[in-house]
Amino acid sequence: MTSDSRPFLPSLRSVRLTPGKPLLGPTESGQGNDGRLTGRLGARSGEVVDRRRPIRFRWNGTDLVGLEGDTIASALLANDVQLISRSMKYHRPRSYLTADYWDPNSLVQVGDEPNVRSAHRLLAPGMEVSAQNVWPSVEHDIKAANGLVGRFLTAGFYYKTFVRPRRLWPAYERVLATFAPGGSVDIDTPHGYYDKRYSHPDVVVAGAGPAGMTAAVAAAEAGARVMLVEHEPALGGHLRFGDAGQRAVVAGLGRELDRLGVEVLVDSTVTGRYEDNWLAINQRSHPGVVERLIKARAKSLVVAPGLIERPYVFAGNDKPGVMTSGAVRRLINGYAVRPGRRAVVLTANADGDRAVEILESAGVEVAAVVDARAGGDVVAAHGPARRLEEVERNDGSRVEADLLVIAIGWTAPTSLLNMAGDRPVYHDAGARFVPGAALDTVLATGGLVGDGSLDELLDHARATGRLAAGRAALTSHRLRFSTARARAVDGPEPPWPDDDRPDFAPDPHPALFRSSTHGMVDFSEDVSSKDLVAAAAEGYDSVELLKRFTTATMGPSQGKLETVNTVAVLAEARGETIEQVGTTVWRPPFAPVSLGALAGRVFEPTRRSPMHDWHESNGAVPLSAGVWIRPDHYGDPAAEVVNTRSNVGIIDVSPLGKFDLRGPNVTDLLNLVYVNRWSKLAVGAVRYGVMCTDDGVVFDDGVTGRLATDRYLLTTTSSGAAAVGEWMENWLQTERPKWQVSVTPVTDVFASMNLAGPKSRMLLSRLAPELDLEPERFGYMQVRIATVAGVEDCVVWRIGFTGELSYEVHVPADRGLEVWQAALDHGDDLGLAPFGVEAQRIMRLEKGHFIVGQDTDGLTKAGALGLGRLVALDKPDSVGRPELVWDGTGDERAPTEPCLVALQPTNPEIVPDEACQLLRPGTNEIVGRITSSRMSPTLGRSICLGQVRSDLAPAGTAVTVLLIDGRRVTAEIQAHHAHFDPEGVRLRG
Amino acid sequence: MADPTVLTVRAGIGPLALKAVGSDVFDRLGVAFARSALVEIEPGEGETARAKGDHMVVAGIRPDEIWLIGTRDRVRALWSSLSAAPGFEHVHAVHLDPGIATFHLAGPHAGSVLEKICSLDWSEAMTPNGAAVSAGVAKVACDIVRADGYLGGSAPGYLIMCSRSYGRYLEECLIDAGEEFGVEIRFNSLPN
Repeated sequence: MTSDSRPFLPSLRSVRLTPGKPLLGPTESGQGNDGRLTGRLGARSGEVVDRRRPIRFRWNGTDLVGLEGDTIASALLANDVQLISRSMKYHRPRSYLTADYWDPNSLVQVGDEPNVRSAHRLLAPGMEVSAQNVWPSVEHDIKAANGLVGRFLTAGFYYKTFVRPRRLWPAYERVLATFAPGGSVDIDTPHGYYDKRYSHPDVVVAGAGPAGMTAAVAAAEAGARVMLVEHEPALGGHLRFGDAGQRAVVAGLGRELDRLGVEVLVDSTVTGRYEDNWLAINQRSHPGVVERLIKARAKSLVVAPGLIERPYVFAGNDKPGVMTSGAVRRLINGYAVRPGRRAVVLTANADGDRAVEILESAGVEVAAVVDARAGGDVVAAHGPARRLEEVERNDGSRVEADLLVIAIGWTAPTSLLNMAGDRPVYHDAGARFVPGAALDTVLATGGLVGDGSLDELLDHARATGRLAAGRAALTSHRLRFSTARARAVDGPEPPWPDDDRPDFAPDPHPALFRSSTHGMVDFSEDVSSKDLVAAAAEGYDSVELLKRFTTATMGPSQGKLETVNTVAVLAEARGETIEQVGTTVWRPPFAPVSLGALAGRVFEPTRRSPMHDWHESNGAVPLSAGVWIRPDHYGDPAAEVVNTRSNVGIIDVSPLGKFDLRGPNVTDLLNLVYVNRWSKLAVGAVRYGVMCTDDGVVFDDGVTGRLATDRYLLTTTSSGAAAVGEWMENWLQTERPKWQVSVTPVTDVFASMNLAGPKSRMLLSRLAPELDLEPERFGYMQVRIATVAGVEDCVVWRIGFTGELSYEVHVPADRGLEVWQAALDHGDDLGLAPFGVEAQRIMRLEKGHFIVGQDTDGLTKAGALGLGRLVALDKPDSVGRPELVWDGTGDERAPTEPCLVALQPTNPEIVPDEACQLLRPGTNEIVGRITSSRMSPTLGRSICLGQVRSDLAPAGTAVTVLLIDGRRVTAEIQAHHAHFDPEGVRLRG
Repeated sequence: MADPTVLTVRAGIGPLALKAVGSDVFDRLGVAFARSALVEIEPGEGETARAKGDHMVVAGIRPDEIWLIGTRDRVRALWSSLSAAPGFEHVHAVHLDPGIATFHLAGPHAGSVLEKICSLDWSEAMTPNGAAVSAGVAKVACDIVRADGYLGGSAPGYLIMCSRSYGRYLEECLIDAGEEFGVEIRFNSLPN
């Protein structure tokens, strides 16, 4: 990031300096800015910031300047800003503890985005950063008063205090909601672009420290397609902020990854592992999008997240100025930021020892080194709430310091292994959990597994990468063998690669979790070791119960920092070992995921008919009918009804489901899936059919025409086409596999339009002059193949959903618009006008034609529809027949069974809403409901269809309709479903 | 400079579905289920050469169904000659071409574009040239045939076919998915 070849960018011209605050800090290594606790150091070898690229941003309204490569955190500390946030419950002043993604004190508001992890998010020009959940400011937060009554706000306080009286809970809730943590969201914020992608790598390596990088290289060298995923913005893990030699190792591995074509994703997280290595990867670094969710199906997963440095529990451990050794290394070596002026270091390992060297190299005075390996300990951090001033040691001495560096051990983030079914086990000598039983295609390596020299670590990682590739190759072989489209496998199945990796285990390490004093365990949730001990004493002494009762491990850090300390404190309280207590189960996500990423790109398919553009340009009001976009009406649906009844109308019915049926067993299939008979359907004839499921419930309906001896065209409802297709295939493939029937969905092969109205015959005669339309030769429920408007192979049906004389014309879809336009051209003098779905629904209701799904529900059996003899119970077999025989189709049906009836409100002006309840007059007994209702332009009154108890179905029966405004009106059952033309004179004319 | 990835919207070609229930007649065509073959059309009498795009694809779309994919005239001509062959008298032909929207996506990033909107594995091992597969693309049921060189060149190429009514929606999805790869968009004349 510090290449000398980069020009000095003119963007600096836009930066205005804040008086008294040097832009870039000292130009040489050494002391920081005078008078400031934290600040920018001089240039350091290996720093990741670019000093020639300043970035201006604002913190709580104040202009500040950082550098390219800075995180928000490093930029704030470089500007001597230490007080970043307030804790969740007690609003205690907080500053950076780990200075990385997991830092529990780092959440800030950036613009209108809340809960941004400031120690992870890179600084960007113009960022508006502010503290969140504070009032009036982070320096003077009124809610810090909670701390004064902290002793009463122990775990379970809310559960116990607000549980009664229950009636007051809504009031409690309103008040408590004002204390909810987190930033603020502007509901007007535009939804950013969240991308999605699928991937099928052979090997995914989670974690790109030295082990992960080495495993990825080894797997790629073995021939695997590898995806390497790194949580941080750059590769290298802990070596990224190491010495020159360590950084050289990282650079060399990076070159190898590049040479081998490994796909590398930085600032990305494997957030979850599911069945068969289905991985959710949240990529935050993809250009042009906010985030991208990658759904990867990996044949092998290598888990190499490294280790997470664990905080230490002692009095005052959350005071600003207390931080981990990793934070010190990151801030000084990576961002050239001095974390303090005078430090005490509590060390139990080499990282703590190294922190001493790093601090000294940055000019920080190391006032004392407390070596835990020699019995040293820190028992308390003292000073005012916002600042560390003294560190108290276990020998009673106090050391003045503004920085306390902690290096007491690690947590092994075994989350992805947990998700694969592994249960980590406690390694007593190493004082941390390690992976449990080895899994076949989920392999751990790196610090998660053990310690040792860098060479030993890389050897283990290399072997792990090879093993992962070998096992992936076997999976790949099996996949190809069993997938018809795949490239044929060559040779026999390769042998199962055995796990011959070198032994690798944690080095001995002192077991340090809590000092002799109590302190904060979960910094995110403000849960102290006292809380945990008290909860255990109350009986919450199982770690899973304790977790839920106290909320320890359930905050934004998701247990990465606090799980082991929680377990250790509980073990101490129970007088048992950590091994006996066990640990909690880590579930997805590994790290919090934004809701936007989970939603991803929204795929909402829509379907358009071939005449869609015409509708749009002719004023149609669109209607979303399932996935179809249809013309609801063209301005006045009532007028469309009147015109169709008087002249002729045309409607686009392309969404109608259609299936081409061929083969010698088509009739058998129709007899099976429909409740009526099909054996004697002549060529050119059409028959209406009702389809039921096994339980006799109406599933779909439609007409089927026999176009030729061996060719049928079956139609379904618009929304039911896909289900009917699957239904027929299911019966053919699983129940009647020997039947020779081919079912081809052809819904989109035809553009469909219906010419309806008394002048429709005249119109069609102009469009199809060669087609004999005389009623005696082309009667109702007949079908013909004809040339229409010069287009051959059109299917012309004489059917009538609207109750009018009408012809439905199915045209090859690519000619649909042409025929539609021709009809309009030829029908002008006949008063032809288009009508939409609403007018169609009115007319079908006038005619009493029901709609499956509107007038039926999931319990409506065919016998309830008043279909009479259409339901052929004397057929040898059909789907749902046994149930229909039992249920009956006529008067023998039980009086409580609902049936479909037509109703007319006594007051013709009142149109009850659909779904209004029907009551027995004078009572509150519900006896049915309205299923369809409209004001009929033809009859000038309200009309309805509804379902009512069978004993109330006789014509003339009065029922009460309960309107949605509470009024009750009377409606009378009609003799026929049809309110208009019950004899079908117009239809058959 | 590498060749661009090109999305040809509404490729002007469509399938004719041949269905043979309970027959092994398709074995004679040498195209197995989930596989396809590019068919070179011999120049007719008096013709010297054929333009690119005059190829046809024969694809085993489903176990009992093959598709002849190409321009309408070529497809009908091939079916005309096939239907006269012994054994084909029980084969049903359904002209699907008016009801299918076809897209041709070809170039070095073609697989990457598909990765954004389809969950299948588009690697060489799992979906090699000639593979035919049914899959959801942006939640739309599609039939996809990998036909490298269909419109020339040797880069990976895919014929993506969906129900015509989904065509405009899928077109928008493909264009959107291709944006980050700089995919060139070419439109053919097939309307809506």
